[in-house]
Amino acid sequence: MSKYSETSTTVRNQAYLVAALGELGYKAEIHADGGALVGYEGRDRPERAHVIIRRVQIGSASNDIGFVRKPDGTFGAVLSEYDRAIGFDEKWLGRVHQAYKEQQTLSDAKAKGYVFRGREVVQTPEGPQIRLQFTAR
Amino acid sequence: MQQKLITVTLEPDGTSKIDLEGFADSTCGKVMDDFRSGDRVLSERRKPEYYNKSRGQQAQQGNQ
Repeated sequence: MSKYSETSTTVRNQAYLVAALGELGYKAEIHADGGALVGYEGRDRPERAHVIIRRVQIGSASNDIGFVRKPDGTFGAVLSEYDRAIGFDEKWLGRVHQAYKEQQTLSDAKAKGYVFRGREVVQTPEGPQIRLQFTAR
Repeated sequence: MQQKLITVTLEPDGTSKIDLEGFADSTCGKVMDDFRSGDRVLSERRKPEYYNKSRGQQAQQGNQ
C-alpha cells in the first residue's frame, strides 16, 4: 500500500527547538520559568519567554525574539512588529519549523527503529526543501 | 519483497509531507503516526497505485 499525508508542524519539544535555532545560526537561551525579553533600547519588555534569541544576534535596532511555552505545551513565537518587518516574519518562522521538524524526525525515527537512508536538499523558489528517507526493518 | 520506504519532505513553510511505499495496509497507520509525531494533519490520501492495485484485484476476482 502507498499512502501520503501532509502535516503542519507543531513545536512542543524545547530541545529540538533550541537545536533547530542552532542549525539556523542562533544560540538560544533557555529560561525554565520565563525570562524577560529585552527591547531595542536595552530595557526589559513586558513580554517573557522560555527560549530567547538575544537581539545582539539579530540586529542593533532589533528586539529579542522569544518562544513561549503555552498552557497546551506548544511553543508560540513572540516577534516585534519591527523584527517582522525586517524579515523575522512568517516565512522565517516556517524555516524554524522546518529545522525543528528535521530534528524531531531524525531523532524520533532513530528511537523507533527506522533506518536513515539519506538527506537531500532541493532548492525551490520558496526556499530549500529537505527530503529525508528511511526504511523500515 | 518490495522495500518499505518512508520519504519525509520538509517544506520551507514548515509543513511536511510523508510518503509511504511498500507497506501493508495494516501497518500504514502506525508508520504514519510514528512520523507525524502529533503534528496537525492537513490532508491524507492513498496514492493512485493503491487504487490501480485494488481495481486489478477486483478484476481478477471477477474473472474467477
